[in-house]
Amino acid sequence: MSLWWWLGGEVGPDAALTFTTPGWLFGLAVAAAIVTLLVTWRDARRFPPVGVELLCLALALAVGCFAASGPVWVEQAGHREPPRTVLLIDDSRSMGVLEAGEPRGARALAEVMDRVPSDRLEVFRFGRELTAGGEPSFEQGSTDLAQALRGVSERYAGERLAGVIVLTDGLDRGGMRARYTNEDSPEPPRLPGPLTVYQAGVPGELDDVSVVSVNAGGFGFMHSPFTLDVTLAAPGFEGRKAPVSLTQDGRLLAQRDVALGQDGAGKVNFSVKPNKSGRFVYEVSVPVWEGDAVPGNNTMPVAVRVVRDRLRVLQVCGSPSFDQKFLRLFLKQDPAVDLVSFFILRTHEDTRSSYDEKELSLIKFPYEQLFAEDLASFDLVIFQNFDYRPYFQELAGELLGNVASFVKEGGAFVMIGGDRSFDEGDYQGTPISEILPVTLGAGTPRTDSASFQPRLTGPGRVHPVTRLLGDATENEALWGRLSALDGLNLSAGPAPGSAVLLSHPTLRTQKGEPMPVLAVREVGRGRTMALLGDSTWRWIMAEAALGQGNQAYLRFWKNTMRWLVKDPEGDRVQVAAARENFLLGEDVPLSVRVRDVGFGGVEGAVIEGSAQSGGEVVTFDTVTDKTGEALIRLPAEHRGPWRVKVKATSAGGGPLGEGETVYAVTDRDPELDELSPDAAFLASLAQSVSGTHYTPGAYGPPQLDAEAGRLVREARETPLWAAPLWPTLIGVFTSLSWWLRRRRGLR
Amino acid sequence: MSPLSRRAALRLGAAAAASACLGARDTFAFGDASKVDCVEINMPGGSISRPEAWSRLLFEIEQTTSIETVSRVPRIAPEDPALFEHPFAALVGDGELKPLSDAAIEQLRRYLTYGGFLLIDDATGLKRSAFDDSVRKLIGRLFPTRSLFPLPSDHAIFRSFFLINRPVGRVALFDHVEAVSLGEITPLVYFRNDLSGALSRGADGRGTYPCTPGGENQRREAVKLAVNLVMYALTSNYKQDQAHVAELMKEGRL
Repeated sequence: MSLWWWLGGEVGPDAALTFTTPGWLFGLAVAAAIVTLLVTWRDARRFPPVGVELLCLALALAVGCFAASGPVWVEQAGHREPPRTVLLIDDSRSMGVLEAGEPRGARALAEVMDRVPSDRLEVFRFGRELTAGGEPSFEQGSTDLAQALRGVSERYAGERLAGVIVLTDGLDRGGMRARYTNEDSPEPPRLPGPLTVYQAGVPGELDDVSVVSVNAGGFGFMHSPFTLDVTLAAPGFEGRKAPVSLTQDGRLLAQRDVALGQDGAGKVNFSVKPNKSGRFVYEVSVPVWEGDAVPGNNTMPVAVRVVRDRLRVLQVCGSPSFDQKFLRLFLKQDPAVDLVSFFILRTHEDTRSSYDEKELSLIKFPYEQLFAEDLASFDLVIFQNFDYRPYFQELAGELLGNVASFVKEGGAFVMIGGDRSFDEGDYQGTPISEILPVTLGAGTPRTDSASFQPRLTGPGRVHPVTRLLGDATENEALWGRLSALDGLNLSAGPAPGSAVLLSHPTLRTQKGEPMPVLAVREVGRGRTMALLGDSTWRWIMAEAALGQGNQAYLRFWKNTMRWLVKDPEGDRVQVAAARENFLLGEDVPLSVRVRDVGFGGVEGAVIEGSAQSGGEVVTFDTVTDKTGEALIRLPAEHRGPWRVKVKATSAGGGPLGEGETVYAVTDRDPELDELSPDAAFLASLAQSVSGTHYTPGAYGPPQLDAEAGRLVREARETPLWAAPLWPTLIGVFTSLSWWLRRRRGLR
Repeated sequence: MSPLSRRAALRLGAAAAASACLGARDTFAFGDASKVDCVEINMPGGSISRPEAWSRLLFEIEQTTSIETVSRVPRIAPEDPALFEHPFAALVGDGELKPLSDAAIEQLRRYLTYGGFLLIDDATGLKRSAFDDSVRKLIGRLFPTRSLFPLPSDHAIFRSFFLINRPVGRVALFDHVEAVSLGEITPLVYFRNDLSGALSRGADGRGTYPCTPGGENQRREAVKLAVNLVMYALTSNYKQDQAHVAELMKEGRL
């Protein structure tokens, strides 16, 4: 039985004694001991001598108090562990492209593993994030080398590693590569050990044609050409001629051959002149040639938002009038309108006064230029009391046909009444009659000159053109008190597919229908409107006379313009994708917003919609929240341009409007946009931290720090309070005290 | 008046893009309600009435331009809401105009602001007159933040139909026309050479008042200016559109 046994364990000299009992508890123990000693002394003092007895008892109590203080003998110790080595493997998809029939990452990894120490090697994979262990699959969608190195530094904080080994092709997308490429002195990463970079991939060993970039500037203006700048890269196909195609919604717009340079690069640009506003997906593609390593990067979609610079309006009027005056004032004062007016100020029969031509400020009516060349540059064409016959003559069929085609291809057309319009202008049988919302051929009479109060029809109560006030009842009341119109061009009735918004209160067509006053129609991709009166100007002056202002007139024509040109900003139902392009498998967030006439959100609107691409259709439905918005997520399951259409109805079933947008789903992988390894970046990175960069075929041993490792500190505790020595001493002293007490005859 | 030569008539026809096959137009199919007319404003005090002048002007417009007119010249007070049925108005005077009520001023201002056009014609033929003083006071009340200014020679009024070099009327005291503009629009024109005096004709077709100093040629120029004023009232700054300016400059007419 050794001394260490009596103390409860072996204790060394380099240590410290600590007490683990709380102070108050120790104080109680001391107080109890003192009380015990005093009581014993009071009883024993009557029978002296008591000194030895009390001394023994005091020793026993002192030992007990010491043990009660919880003494622990703490010895500090430690040892140095051998260093660890970290291997970071780029697990992104660019590492998986085939080189010589094998993924470049796998081929490089096999060589690297032959050179790195297997002892205390810790392996991580990285793409967008750092992952410990596991076999690399080369399937991650991004590469963030800075994030990976930062993760290693944080994980091994306080430890010096033998080495940090990175296996990558250098196609970093996390920002580090950009900094090393663009900055003169980029801040190097803080690393817990020397860096060795093994480059995967050999430049020029990959045959791949790809569309590297399509730059469209983000947006374009209607009727103004914008350029799509396309950059191609085709290592392995140097000197060949690549046919590059531009499509929109699957429709081929243009194709151009591009001669690839000796470095495999090529550039081409396409000029696109959009005639509609909104969001459109343009797709640039090159064919997949035999041996093309990555067919998925041969196509690049780009969405372009086309906005109106200004609404281009052509107003052609056969005779200056008050109606023409006020419409021109409205159009001219709208900063969003670019107005081109042509008024016929003088006709052949107006030459009865003898004025020389030089006295006049008249110019030729450039009808051929307008209706044969410039027509497509307009959004809206207005024939206001305009008789085509004296001007178009033998070109009438062609020029009026151009107007009809303009509408069918997306343009807007309005005919306003007068003694030169509709049947009075002899438009029956012309191409114009095919696009008008009313059927011509009223017979005789062709006009009615009696003043009348137009009546709002059922469609007119809800149509955006005639919705001048948000409240339906107030809107109808407003139409009821607007100034009467002076006269009307008669028609045979509404054309098939049109909607009559205002009708005559008493006149009937030959079929017995109310005579149309205002009618609208969708023709092909365009819209038309027929206003069969010539005195809407009275809506301004009559209201002004009452001090009401001209809001009814302005709102009517603004509504008209927005509806005719399908202005998406004016749509009460709007649907938008979170962004233009999505990868297969992603979610496509779509937001739908429904607004009332006053553009306040509509809560509880029922949304029914569909997304369509080719033969694929996905349907969905939802309900708007209190802000009038709803969010839908659609899976991007099939590649291609997708067109989304939504229809909103009120909780009561009333139509609120429709909206439309497009987005593109592609299997194009941004990680595969560029495949040639970036040796320059990797060399710069290694140099910035005094590391080593190896290129394929020249791999060497990693740079390792032999002095690395870490000191592991340990603390050994011996609980002295539990040592057998203390109860033994207490027993001996207590027994001795007791024996002396009995010897003196006390109990 | 110089007779119209056949060549000039053909050129004019081409300029107006008119067709030789166009027959005479039937009576206006919509009746007279929306045709262009002229209203005389009857102001207390020095305003006078010359309906024959405006009838003559409307006839001249009908004969010379494609504007459909009706020989209708009602005379109404400025506070009459019927004013708003006639977007072209004339105020002719030769004496001091009595101040209008605030309501009448407000009505007249609203009329001009929302698209009406007012020609104020000084029939005095004098450089200084009580009428002129009262007109300036009237305009000061109508547009407190605007002032009369001489129209520049390239204003659309001087090229809305005819090319006008000198704005003359029965007299030719002033070589300029004053006006008030609201933005790009000029809704009020103040003419001091007695335009209506030059337009007035008797039953025999002769001018009621002699035009001085230019005689009948001066009257002819006055008629052209009057036609331009009506054309401007209907087409506003149409003739300042780029296409027109460029074409006229190309042809050397500007």
